[in-house]
Amino acid sequence: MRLYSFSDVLSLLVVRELLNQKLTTPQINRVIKFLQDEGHERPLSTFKFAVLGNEIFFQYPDGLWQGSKRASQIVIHQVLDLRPLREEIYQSIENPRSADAQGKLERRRKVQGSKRVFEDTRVPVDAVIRYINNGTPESTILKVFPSLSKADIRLAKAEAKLAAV
Amino acid sequence: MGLVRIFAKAHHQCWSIRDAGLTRAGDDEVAVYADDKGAVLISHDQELFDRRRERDFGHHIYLKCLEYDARKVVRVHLDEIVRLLDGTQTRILKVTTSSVTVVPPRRL
Repeated sequence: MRLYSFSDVLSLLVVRELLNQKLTTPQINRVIKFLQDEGHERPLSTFKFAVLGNEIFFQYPDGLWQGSKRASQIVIHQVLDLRPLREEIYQSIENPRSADAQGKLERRRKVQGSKRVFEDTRVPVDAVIRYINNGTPESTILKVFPSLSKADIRLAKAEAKLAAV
Repeated sequence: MGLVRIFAKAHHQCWSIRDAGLTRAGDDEVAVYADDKGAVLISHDQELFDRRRERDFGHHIYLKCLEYDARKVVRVHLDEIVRLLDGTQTRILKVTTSSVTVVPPRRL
C-alpha cells in the first residue's frame, strides 16, 4: 500500500486537468522535468499552470509566466484554478463516513436531544432542511456541513418536500 | 465551518465536533470534552442547553437562532460574548439575533 500526501494527490489532479485540456503526457512531463531541473521539487502542486492552445504555461513565484515553447508570454485565460481541486481532496478526506451510512437518518439517545440526525454524524436533518428551504445551493450546504455527502442532501431535499406537503 | 472561520478571524481557536473526532459522541460527552479542553461549547440544541443549566460546568453558548443565521448572529455579538466569558470559570450564555444573556444555572 502507498500513502499519498496532499501534495501528491493535488499533483495527480493537476495532471488530470492538464490532460483534460487535451495536452499530451510527454508535453506535461517535459514541463515537470524542466521545473524540477530548475530545483522545484514539487512543481505540480506549487506552480500555477495555464493552457493556451496546446501549450502549457507556468507562473513563477515572482509572477512571471513562462511557456513551454516561448518564454515570458502573457497568459490571460484558462488558468487552472486549483481551488476546486483542493476542495475535491478535502471533500474526500473529510468525509470518511462509509457509503452505507450516507443518505440515511438515525436517532441516537442523548445526541442532539434524540432528534433525527444523518447516520454517523451529529447533524440534524431539520438543520439542513432549513438551508434547503432558504434556497441555499447544495455546494454551500456541503461546505457548512462538511461531514455530509450529496446523498445526504438528496435525502434532506426529499424530507423537505414531504414536510411541505 | 462558517463559524470556525469567524472565530479564527477574530484570533480564537475554534474547531468542530467532527474535527475533534466526536461525531458519534453523546451530548454530555461533548460537553465534558469541551470543559476538559477549556473550550466553550457552542450549540443550537435547546435540550443540551437545559441540561447544562442543571449540571453547570464550563462554558456553554446556546445559539437560539436558525443554524442558517448563526454566522451573522455570532459576528454581531462576538465582542459581547468574549467580554461576558472572559475571566469566568462557568458561564452559560444564550445568544439570539438581538441579545446576549447570561443564564443562571437551574438548581434542582
